[in-house]
Amino acid sequence: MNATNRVLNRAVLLVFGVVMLVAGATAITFGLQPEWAEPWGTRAAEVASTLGEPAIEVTGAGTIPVAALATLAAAALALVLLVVFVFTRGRGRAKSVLRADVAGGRTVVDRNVAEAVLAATLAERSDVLSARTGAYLVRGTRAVELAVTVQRGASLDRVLAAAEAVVDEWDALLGARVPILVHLADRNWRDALRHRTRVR
Amino acid sequence: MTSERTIYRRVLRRETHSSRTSAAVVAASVAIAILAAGVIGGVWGLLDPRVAGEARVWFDEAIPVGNRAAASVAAGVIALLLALVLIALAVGPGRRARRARTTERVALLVDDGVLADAVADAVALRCGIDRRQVATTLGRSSVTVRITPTSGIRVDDDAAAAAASSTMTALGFTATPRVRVESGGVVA
Repeated sequence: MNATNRVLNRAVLLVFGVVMLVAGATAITFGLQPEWAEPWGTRAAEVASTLGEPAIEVTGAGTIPVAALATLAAAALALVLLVVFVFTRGRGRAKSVLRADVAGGRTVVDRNVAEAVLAATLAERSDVLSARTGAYLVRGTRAVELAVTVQRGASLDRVLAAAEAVVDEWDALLGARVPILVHLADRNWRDALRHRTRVR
Repeated sequence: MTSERTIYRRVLRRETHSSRTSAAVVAASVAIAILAAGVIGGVWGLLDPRVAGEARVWFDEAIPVGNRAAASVAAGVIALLLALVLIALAVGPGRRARRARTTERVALLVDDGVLADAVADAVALRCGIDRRQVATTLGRSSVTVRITPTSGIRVDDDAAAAAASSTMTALGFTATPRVRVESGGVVA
């Protein structure tokens, strides 16, 4: 439920895919027909020598071609952008589930309250293995995810009814209607370590 | 403030489709490693002109001139395969095995595995057979139930189909049940 920009994810994958496609096709072509590579090789050498001409004098390092510096700078910029990309994934979590500005102050309901009221209540049921909540900002609105892992053999409609009952209690407690996603989730490897009680 | 229905629609669409974050982060991390090596090597080469010569010697030893064409083809094939995977990830729908709907109050998201378990449990209970004799697969609009009967005992496949579809409708999802009873039974 995070706010990761998924179009950007796919754009990054597509750009890398196309780059690899072109590089791979070129490598195969030149590997099978080495003579086709020759004119390109001489052309590349010509371009490199023309671009290498404007150079600057750097104390301690001698002359350095401007083109090499520009290439390095572009690579460094791409590097920084990619690092930013990696570290901006998975955002959109919220610390609170409700913020209400009233005369004379502001009321903030922390996400731990949702965990205690929604998840802890459900986790006590015998047909629920585990329950947890998460708070997210979706389009500027706070929303709650209530993920429930059910016991093997549990009646799903009964678990859903229980979840809705807990949500009703939560609404009454909060006095405001917060969007809630109820997620009946698959058991993961951690749940396999929990004690198993089959329920009917 | 966005309306609750709009939020539910957005959340459920996102939760039923893969985010592609892990694939994109892996691809970006590999690119970061390659670019970092390139930048460090480039700067080093500019400051110390001997580096380029040493790198060429190392490269010639690693891939002798005679092997270069074969190495180029092999690298190209690997790159092409990776490219196909990346492009498929970029443009594929990325649907996850989950189904979603909204109730009057909440948005409901159910993993297909949970539903399949529930369907198998219901079918086993209705047919009076062991849970291990029932296998369930959920498609987008169908639920396939494969039953291995107990030797010598007939399985009522209509009852099995009814149990499967009633489990789905109890949660508000519809799916056409398909029941297949194996010809060979087991001793149970």
